[in-house]
Amino acid sequence: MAIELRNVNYIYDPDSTLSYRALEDINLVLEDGVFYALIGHTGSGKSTLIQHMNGLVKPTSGQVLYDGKDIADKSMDLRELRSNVGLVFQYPEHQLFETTVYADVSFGPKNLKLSKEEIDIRVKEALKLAGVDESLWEVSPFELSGGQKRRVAIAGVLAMKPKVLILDEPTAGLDPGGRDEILNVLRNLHDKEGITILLVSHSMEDVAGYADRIIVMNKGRIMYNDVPDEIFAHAEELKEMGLSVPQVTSVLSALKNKGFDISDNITKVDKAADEIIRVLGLENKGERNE
Amino acid sequence: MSDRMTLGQYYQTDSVLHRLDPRVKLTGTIVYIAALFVADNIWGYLLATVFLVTAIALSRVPVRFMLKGMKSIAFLIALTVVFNLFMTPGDILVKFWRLAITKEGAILATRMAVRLIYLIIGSNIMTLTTTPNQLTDGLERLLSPLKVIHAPVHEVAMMMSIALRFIPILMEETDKIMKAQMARGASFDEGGLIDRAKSLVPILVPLFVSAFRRAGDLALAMEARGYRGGDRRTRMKPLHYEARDYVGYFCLVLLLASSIVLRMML
Repeated sequence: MAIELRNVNYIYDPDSTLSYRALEDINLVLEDGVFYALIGHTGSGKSTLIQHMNGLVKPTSGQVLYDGKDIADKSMDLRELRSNVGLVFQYPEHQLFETTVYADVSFGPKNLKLSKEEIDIRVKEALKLAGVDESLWEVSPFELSGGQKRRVAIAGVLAMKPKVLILDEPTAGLDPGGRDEILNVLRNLHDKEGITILLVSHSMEDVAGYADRIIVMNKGRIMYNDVPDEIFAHAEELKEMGLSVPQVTSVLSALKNKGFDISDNITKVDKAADEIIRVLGLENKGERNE
Repeated sequence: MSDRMTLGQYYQTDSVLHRLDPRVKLTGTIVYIAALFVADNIWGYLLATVFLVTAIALSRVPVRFMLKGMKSIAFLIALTVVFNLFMTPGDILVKFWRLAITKEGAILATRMAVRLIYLIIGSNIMTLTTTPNQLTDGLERLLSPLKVIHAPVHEVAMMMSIALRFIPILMEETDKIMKAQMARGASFDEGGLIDRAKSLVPILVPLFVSAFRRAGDLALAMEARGYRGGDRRTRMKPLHYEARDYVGYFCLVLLLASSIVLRMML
């Protein structure tokens, strides 16, 4: 198990009148090699939660463990923790600052005080993994398009060689093409490199086809932590939290409500098509028999 | 998170002082400061004290918020007190080695300390009960006579309110950028002076880029809504005086007049 949170509570400004409980009694285990999605409405505490996982935010009460070690422990090397648990913030392209793409990506490994050769290897590898074309490596990051900038920023975290990669809304503000590119990069990292991924999103549509498990947050609490099909069976509850199920799933449940004997916990378009064909096929046969 | 951040140091509550027209509060602060410096005897200070205590009571803001700015200028107050205490010539009260405390020095030091502390509490009351927007609106209206001599009163007021509005945004942005660079292994409290200065580059560059981006976006949004400076611009919440504002002005005239009288009579 990579990351474990035990009874974590977090309160903003505990002593002031504005004090506000962002996380309430969070218990969560992230296993190695799993593709997680963390879903919740704006203000549900997603961003606060993920900042606990690499020690940027300390819990008001409770424990955060990495590889079984409490990260609040004095012997914990926070820099090492942050290289193991990579965190990509929302709009990560806003943090680019170097003169070239290559130099920006090397910022992380340089902070780890690695040798020049090792830095070079890691930077090139990270840029390739993030799908940044070699012709752009010596260009200023400020001259790139939005989607390219974002992939450079993700490469900046990948160059730290994280075992766990956490991304906060990595597709926000991108067009559908850029969105798919990023999500495919993530799937590749998970499938080929074996990196544990936690993808934060407010859109079920985005994560349905990618995540092994979905964690649903609402008002600072974890409501569900299950495989996608099980999660989407709670369509009504999700709607109440301001979340929606993928469009194909709502089409199927509408069909079910109309009296079709159809399964409504399907999240992928092709599987849904198969299911509809199956149901229609049965009915067609029934008609022929009559 | 942004809506939880306070703008400036405004304290949200409902009180007579909060509802008072910002022009009255601005004038009031100036009159109050003038009265503080007019006062030269115990009665003058007593008058200022009564005014201050009444204002604090009317504002319904917890007193600890008023004392907030005090820490940062405690050093200044201490320095003023020490200099006045030892450097004023006059009747010697205590003398040790070459340093002497005179009676005049003691009085002057106390007076300066009281003035400074009152001054800070007074201006804190204004900023605690007035939103930055109200403040710049009030300032614009108060200074509007200067438009006759082509002073860009509206533009300056608009720049002030935008600057104030951007402080919390940029603070949040700085926090975000710092965290993002920390996630990439950056640290800001290591090494010597040069290392620390260098470690600020990964924060300052993105911060400036973002400030320029936001400025550009804002200018575009303002122009798209037809903003072209102060000419013929109407207001959503025009300032107009109510009965309580005239009462406020009356109290201010009274304060200034009494402190002048107290100085001349006694």
